[in-house]
Amino acid sequence: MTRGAVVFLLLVGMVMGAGPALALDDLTPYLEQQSAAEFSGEESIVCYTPDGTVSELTVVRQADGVRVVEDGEGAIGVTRVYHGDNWVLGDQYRVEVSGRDRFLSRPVTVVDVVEGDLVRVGLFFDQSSGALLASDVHNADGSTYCSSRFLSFDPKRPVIPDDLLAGLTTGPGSSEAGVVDADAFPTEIAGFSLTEVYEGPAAGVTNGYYADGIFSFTVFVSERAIEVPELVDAPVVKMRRGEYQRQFYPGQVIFAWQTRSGGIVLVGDLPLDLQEDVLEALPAPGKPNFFVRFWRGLFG
Amino acid sequence: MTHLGELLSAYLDGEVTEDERKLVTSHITDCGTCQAELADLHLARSALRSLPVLDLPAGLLDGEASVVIPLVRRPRVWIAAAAATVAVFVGVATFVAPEPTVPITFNEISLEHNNRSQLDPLLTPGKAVPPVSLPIGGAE
Repeated sequence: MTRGAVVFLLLVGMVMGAGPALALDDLTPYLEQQSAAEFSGEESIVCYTPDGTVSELTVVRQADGVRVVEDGEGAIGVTRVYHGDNWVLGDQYRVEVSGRDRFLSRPVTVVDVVEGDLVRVGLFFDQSSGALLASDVHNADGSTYCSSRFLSFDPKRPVIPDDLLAGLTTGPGSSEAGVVDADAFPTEIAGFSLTEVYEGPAAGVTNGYYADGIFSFTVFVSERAIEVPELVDAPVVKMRRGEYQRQFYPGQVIFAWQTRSGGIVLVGDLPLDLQEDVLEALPAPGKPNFFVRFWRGLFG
Repeated sequence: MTHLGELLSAYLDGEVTEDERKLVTSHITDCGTCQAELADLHLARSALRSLPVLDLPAGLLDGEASVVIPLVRRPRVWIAAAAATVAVFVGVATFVAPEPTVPITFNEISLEHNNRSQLDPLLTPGKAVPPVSLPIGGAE
């Protein structure tokens, strides 16, 4: 072998082994393929929370950008799987394609969303259909917060009855209430950007939707305490700034608390450490002062 | 012992009811403090009445006749009763009546959030299920 050929082979070897990336280090094409995928299957999600493990097994059908999810109790969720131009990945994240693997005997591309040294999210995309077959979400200490897995997967186009599509929203920001007093919400909370401000679902409740491209949460704010019937028996937990009612659902957590000036409810898919960070940036729990109580007592 | 206070002044001005008049007369019989206060008030009124009456400078009222508005003295017991009623009402409204709340169900909260979180790559079952409650059988 000539000296030139050796150098050439060394260079090829260096290029091929230069980094972990095996494909695009941008999440966008994967999300576009995921939203266009057509499939059906059984999916499980398990979340490990301070209040115990919560899990759910659902049947998922996706076609024409619409996802229908049925749980074991007969409830059906219909959601438009959407990937739009206004999706922005937070600066704190970088995307690394960590390799290729097999899942359910199918070749998958493993994409990691990395925050500093932490693999915050691992995504397993089916190479053939583009469907997201599995995901892992991690807390700041590296522990797993939630895992989702398809237990069975059929890449055939499923049938979605037309009557399920009635009333389906067309995408983010489809609220008819429109933008209200956006100045009432900070434009940024713990690395999350304010994306939309709207009213509802009850009179006098204003909401701010925040996202960082991976996780998101909505803050519901009212000048009165917000009563969520499902949280009546929810545990009250003491966190850095006070006590909150907290309830975990598979893939979702909800907090409710009263402040000195009203009530707040937060719902989102935040891992445990981000829950703390976000709550710390919001008004602390507290009791309304005498004059507020007096006014509400007289005039409601 | 509760002293008569401003009731003495009203007594001297002849603006008390018959019951108040009896109260004053019986009270000052045994109360040296009120006796002394009544004497001082009496002296002050006498001194005021002894002052000469002066004519107003011409033009002070700009030629218009002054308007006399009679002062009406209302029985104090009603004022006290009204104040007590308000105090009780405020106390009840502030501390006893339940705080008004805004009721929102979890499904409403979840639906509002999920409608906006469709850009999230982690579209998990738990985030997608709650919104619509249709029986599976009816949907097929």
